[in-house]
Amino acid sequence: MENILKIKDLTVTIGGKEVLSDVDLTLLPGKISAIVGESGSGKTMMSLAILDLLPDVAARISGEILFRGKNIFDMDNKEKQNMRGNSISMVFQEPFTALNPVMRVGEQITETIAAHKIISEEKIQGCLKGLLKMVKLSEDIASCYPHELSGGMRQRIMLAIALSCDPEILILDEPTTALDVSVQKEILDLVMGIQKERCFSILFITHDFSIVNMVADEVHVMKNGRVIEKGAKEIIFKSPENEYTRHLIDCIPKLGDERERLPESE
Amino acid sequence: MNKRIIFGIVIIFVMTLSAVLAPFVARYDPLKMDLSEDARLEKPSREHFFGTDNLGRDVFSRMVYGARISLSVGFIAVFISLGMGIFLGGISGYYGGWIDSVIMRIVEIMYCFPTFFLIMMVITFLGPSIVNVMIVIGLTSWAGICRLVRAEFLSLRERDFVQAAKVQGVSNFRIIFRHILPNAMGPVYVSATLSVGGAILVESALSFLGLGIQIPEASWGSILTAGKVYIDYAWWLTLFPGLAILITVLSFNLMGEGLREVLDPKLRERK
Repeated sequence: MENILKIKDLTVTIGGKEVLSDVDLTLLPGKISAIVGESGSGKTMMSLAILDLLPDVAARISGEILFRGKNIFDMDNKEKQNMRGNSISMVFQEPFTALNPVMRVGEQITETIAAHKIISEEKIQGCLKGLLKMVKLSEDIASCYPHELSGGMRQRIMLAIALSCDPEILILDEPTTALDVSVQKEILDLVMGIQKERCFSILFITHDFSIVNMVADEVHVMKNGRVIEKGAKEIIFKSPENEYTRHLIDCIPKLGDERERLPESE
Repeated sequence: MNKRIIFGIVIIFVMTLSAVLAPFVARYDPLKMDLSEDARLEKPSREHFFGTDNLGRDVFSRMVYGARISLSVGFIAVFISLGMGIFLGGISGYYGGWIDSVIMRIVEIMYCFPTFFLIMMVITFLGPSIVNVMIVIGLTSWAGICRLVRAEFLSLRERDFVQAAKVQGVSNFRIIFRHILPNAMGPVYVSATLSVGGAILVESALSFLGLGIQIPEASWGSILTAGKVYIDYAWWLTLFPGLAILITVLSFNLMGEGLREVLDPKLRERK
């Protein structure tokens, strides 16, 4: 199958320190690829690199990122702006800060559509209704400000924004880390449901192997800016080659596992 | 609500309203002279609330019409400086790099110049008129707002929602003016309110020096000038316009202070 996104030998430094070293990654259409690693392993840097939105202090040393065969570092600003949100979209970790506090959420959803498509205001409002329905929110939420919504609702709004232009790739940067467990499950189910329907590719960034188990087709394990192990989920879970991967898998709490319990108080 | 804001708003509202409705508030034609001996330099009375000047004109009516000039100079000058300050400060803070360096050097030059003399020089050059005064005050007072907006932008542009908007392919123009600017307006409102008072003072000073409004029209500053010769025995010619300037500028400052207190959560708790 032809890949939709290919990262080749990407090396990025910040202040002389390599935050990504020789990263290789391939994303296939309709597949969910998970990138797992602890904080500081370069997961977020990679997602920003894909959109060419690395911070100013970061320098790309080598490598390329091919989206549909075209190197994104060769695109001009207009092409990049067209790609962002329209072809490749992203949901951030913190729904509390990723929404503009002084703008109604409805407008924040529609502005992405307006930025990429030339359609009438009426149609945009129609899209807005469809999107809110898709993320299972009622229509009157559109006139709320972000502070009036709960964390889960905000993350749904973020999802609606990210999917407003039917992107081919959705990057989820720890989308559930800031939420409590029950809401986490809801959001994950929602994302998976929509993905089944629309068949876009997902790059799922997380540090939680139990989530990987739930969602991913492929797994990339990152440590210190390097991909140290990759492969199909089943294989990685069954027979992890790398010591580090094994540690991460061991961190999943297991049912009936008594080892890590605190001694009961008397 | 904050007492200072209410005081400021009430005074400013009354002043603005009487300026707008000047023909109904003033009982006499502000330009109509009466050179008969007993009509000139008349003391304040029921007929003439603030007395009459050396040419027999009603000072109260002149001041009501003068409020139109003084207030509109204040508002329009600040409007110009806000526009420039926000635009330049916004792109300076958002883009950074050489654009920022260039704009900040210009701002520093503006700061180094003794603004009042710069204004006087330009006015002498362009010829004194009230429109020139508005424009020149506006063009020389944007540096402070520019710095303020830039500082706000520097911190706001790093926020997640700006990054999120970039990720969605929203244009820079829209990010600057629709996303960041509304979040940066708090301190700008405060500064703008304070600047209106400042602009009115500058206009008064210019008119006092004969560089602002030209006779026979009047602003508060020029009524002051006209009165200074008679200050020994016709105190009302200088007292009332002086008071009007004082109270108006004071109201704008109080309102600005009040706004600052309301908009800045760090000051709110201190009571």
